[in-house]
Amino acid sequence: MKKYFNFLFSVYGIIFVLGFSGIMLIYGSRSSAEYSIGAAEFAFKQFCFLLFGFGLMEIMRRIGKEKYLKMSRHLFFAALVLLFGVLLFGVKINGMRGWYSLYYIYFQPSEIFKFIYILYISNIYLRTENKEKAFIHGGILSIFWIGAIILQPDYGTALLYCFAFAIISFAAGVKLRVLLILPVAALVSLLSFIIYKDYGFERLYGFFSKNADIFGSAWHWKQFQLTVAGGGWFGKQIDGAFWSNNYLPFAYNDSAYAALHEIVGFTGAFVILLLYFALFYMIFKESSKSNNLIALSGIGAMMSNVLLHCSVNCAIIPTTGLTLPLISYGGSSLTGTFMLLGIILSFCRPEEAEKTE
Amino acid sequence: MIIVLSSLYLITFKRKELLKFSAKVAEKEVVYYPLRGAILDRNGEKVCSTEWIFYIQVPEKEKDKIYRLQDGLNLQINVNEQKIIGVIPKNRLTQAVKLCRRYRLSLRKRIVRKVVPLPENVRSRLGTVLQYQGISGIEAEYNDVLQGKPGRYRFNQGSRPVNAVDLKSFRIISPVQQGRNIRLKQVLAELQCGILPEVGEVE
Repeated sequence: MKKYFNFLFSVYGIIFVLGFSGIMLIYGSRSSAEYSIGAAEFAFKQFCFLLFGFGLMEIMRRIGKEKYLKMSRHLFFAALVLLFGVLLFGVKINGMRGWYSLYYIYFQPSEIFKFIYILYISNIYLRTENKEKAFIHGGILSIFWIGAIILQPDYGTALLYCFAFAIISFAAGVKLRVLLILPVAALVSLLSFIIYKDYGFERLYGFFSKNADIFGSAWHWKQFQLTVAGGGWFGKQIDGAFWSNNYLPFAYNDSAYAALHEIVGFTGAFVILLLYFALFYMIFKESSKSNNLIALSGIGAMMSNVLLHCSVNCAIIPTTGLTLPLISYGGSSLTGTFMLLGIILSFCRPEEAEKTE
Repeated sequence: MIIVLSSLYLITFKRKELLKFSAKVAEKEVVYYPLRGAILDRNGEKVCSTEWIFYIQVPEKEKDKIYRLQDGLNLQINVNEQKIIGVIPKNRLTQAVKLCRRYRLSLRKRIVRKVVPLPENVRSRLGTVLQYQGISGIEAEYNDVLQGKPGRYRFNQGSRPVNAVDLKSFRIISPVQQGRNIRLKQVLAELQCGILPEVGEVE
């Protein structure tokens, strides 16, 4: 019991530090340029999202595992309806129809419902003894889920769900030769993305070709390099992140890690990475004690999100447009991450703690 | 591990090349012209001087915006081809800055050479200025003294429409040297009667 509460205290501490870094990033990446919303107001909004998310995580942590498993099927299909609904009734932002608008509140179902996907697909594996059968069942449902996200179109988040499915299947014990279907499916999806979407081809061409136009298709990718290099070892002052403010696109969400690099330098960014890995390691250790599939898959999905985001921001892979969990600006992204953490912590909770709380 | 190594590579081996590239993208160099020296009469009265004027310019189709500000700012409006130009009096400058920000208009400035009313023969003897350079008369003869020396500044500028300037990067390459004045031998009243000016001394 005491060990569990020590673990919980450490996890909350890391979440708090990462959340605070996010507020600092948002303030720093909007400080010098003139935006319609000022840096302080933006940072305050993020602070409110953090408080709300934190509260939500704590509530979700206290709900019992059995209740989640019982509700997972209903939650999954309700979320799937909302994911398709957004294509009809959603609002278009940055060329993507992925948000519902409720007066002044916008929410992105694909970000918020991450925990439902992980919960239900993992539940299928838990219920079915034949893992290959569960793989087919989960795969068919995933095609609908990911398809709805691709239609928005949000390829970055779709890619993240593909990773999540692979991680759940691997953790559930599906044979490797069956899992080989996934890279083949990914290759086919990638080819169709290149063929049907002009900007898909441009992004890849900008990344792989040395002759790509630095002021055109390779612009975003080049900005990542310039921002990271500009930060140097120890970064600039919080109001000195000129490149993040003026050149780097979406510095406060999709390019958060590169912007952090400019503000706190390599040293600070390395500490942030260490904090993430400390968080993942602690949760991984706690969940592997009871061989908990849902907590393992959840933390695996979150880890792939962080790795994909940081790889894109260090110009290792082509641009995907993913947020950095707990740091990037955005109510939906933060709420989704906190809800996922709530579920993970709930499944990590020992039975004694469940009874006493 | 790859992420950390990649960041290290960018901040060590590739840094110099990338910073050079970023300077090429963001660095702007501005030539800053000095105010041209004045021509004074024997008593020190200004016959000819250079001033900054501040104005708002909008296309014909947006003329409503400028007429809305006319009374409040006491604008002097000139209609020039398809543009409407409102010159702002010096004492209304602060107010004009606020109003331009509110109505999303851009405040522009340029240098003008102002000459007190003089007969044509005196004006031609004083000469004319084109593009900060005297091209005839006394203006051309004493161009080196009157013109001063343009300065050059370099700074980083953002790519967004607002074009934020990084004040920390602001550096002077060569400072502006203001033009010096010239004193004529006649008084203003004599010049206004058409007595041609004799050049006096350089101040």
